Amino acid sequence: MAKASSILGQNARNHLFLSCNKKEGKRIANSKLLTKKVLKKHGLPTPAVLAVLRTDKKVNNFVWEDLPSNFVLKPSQGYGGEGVIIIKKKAKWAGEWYLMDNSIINTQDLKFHALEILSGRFRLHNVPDTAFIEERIKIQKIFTRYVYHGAPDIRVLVFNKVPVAAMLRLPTRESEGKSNLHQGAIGAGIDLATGITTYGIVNGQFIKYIPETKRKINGLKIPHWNEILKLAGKVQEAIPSLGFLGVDIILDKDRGPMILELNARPGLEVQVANMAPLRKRLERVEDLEVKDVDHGVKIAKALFAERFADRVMAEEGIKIVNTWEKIRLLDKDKKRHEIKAKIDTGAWRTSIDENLANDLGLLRPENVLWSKIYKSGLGVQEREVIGLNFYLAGRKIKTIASVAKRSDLRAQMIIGRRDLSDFLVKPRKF
Amino acid sequence: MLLELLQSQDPGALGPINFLKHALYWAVNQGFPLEFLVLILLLPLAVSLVVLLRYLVGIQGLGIFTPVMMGVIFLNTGLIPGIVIFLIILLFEILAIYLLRRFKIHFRAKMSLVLLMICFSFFPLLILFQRLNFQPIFSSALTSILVLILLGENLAETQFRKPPQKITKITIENLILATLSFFILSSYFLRKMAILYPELTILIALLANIIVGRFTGLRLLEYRRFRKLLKK
Repeated sequence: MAKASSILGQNARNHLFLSCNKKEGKRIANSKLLTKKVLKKHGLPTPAVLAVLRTDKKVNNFVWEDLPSNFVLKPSQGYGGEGVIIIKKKAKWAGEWYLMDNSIINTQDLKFHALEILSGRFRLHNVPDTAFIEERIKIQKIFTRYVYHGAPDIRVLVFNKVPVAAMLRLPTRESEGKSNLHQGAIGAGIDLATGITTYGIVNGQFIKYIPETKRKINGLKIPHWNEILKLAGKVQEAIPSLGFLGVDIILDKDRGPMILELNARPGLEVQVANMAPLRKRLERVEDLEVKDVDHGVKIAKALFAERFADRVMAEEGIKIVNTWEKIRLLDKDKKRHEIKAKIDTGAWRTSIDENLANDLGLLRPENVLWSKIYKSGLGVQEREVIGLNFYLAGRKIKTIASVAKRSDLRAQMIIGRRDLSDFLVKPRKF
Repeated sequence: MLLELLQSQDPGALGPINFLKHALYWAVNQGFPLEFLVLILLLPLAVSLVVLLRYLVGIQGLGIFTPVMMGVIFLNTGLIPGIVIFLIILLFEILAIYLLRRFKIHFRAKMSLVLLMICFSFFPLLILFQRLNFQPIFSSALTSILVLILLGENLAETQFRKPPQKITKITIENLILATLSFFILSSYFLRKMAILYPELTILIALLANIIVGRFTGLRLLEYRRFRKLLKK
């Protein structure tokens, strides 16, 4: 059961975490055109802009017929997907196009809509805005079976260079091809370690199947998952004035992940879609020293991996372990080493001897997640926390472990509660 | 009656905890209406309540201005007639927006047309108001009703932008906040407090805002929003 204090509410988001977003960063994120400009400067991929319409004159003289057969008309500073028109293809006559719901729109309508955008209709407080036309992304084949129409995108929340949560956003009939949850799109939580979808929500309700295509929502493996997480981290590296942001990433059929837009005020529904409270996660990574994007991704995968424990348990039943168990540790070359470990329900995190970890090559800098000062029964010491894989009672456990000097202790390794959720512990032998 | 209450009190020597009371005496003696002085002391309380409900409960309405303004208007029109007139304005607004939805003109021009249609709808409505015996309200709260019509613009703007469920929610929240502000501004108990302890009134508003302004926990309605997460 999640505690209320581990959930991120609006108060906590606005007060504690949005203050990490500085004025400059917000200015970039609020303007889609400026976002593209900055990202391009840093060599990060975004969908191409076909035309920018800044003035009424430009709109009136614009030749819509010269555009490719599909495109998207957007306000630069709109919010929540409002004012976006997605053109599906050309209709029978020149100057007419099909929208996503197969209704027809003509040059006059487009021109009028562009003028409405310029007048600031879709912007906060109705101040004048700029309209632009963006290429439409061809979506990956794996998604075509899932979505009714439109292009799904992936929202990744990044804080302190660590991706803290992700969600696949699938457009529905109701959302008219847009992927904003407020407009009725489906949000599906994604396990950060594997990139596999977990739960789905639409309009705040849990669903198992996509209404239009009758596809199961969970179990979809997002392609290019690592690249997506890294890309999200790179955005924050490029714009450090955004401390806590949502990065919307779309997968192009040929070009792979591209950044669609940034959000300096990400929504909170992602917690429900993932069934994972966010505040604790944010506090967890808040003061970690994250070296680079790869390091951030590594931390995220180790810390926030979804435990598919319930499913495993249903299939195999609960395993029973003794207080001393022979486990097989994987070293840096994935070779297995059998050692005896103590099951210690008094500890939260698994702990491993420094010498042993060193012998197995687990103390290489790439494998160290962070180091921290610990107070424990062994006194105050600085300990490193590393990524660790091992087999316990035939089950593979991918976890994190703190490194300690245990050479003069009986157990070279203890396994803590964090990794014991699928097991029952038998306290003594009979 | 409040005036007598004020005059029956002895403010004592001027000090740091009764300076506002002295100011009240002075203003009343100079001929400023007590009603105005009381309202100016209670207005921060009404605004604080709106803020409190926003951050602790999650009732947002349309910000601070619109609901408190409506509360002030209800003070003039009376609560029930005020709400009735507001709901009628709202009804016609929805109708006007529905009629103008597919009409392609600039946004502000459209808003202006919505207001025009509401104003015109008042002529047939006069029959209804006559049946309800509302005529005295229209003479005593003339400008208030005009402001109520204009406040409709705020709601109309959200109606053009947001999906229907959201508008119903915002409208109901707005009415709740307006009603509560009305009760604060008209409560005899609070009026008495404002006159007897004006400094305390201000202090309460001050503290409430500072405490709530630092609150980072879940809002009451968020417990419902995240109930599935909490249950897990």
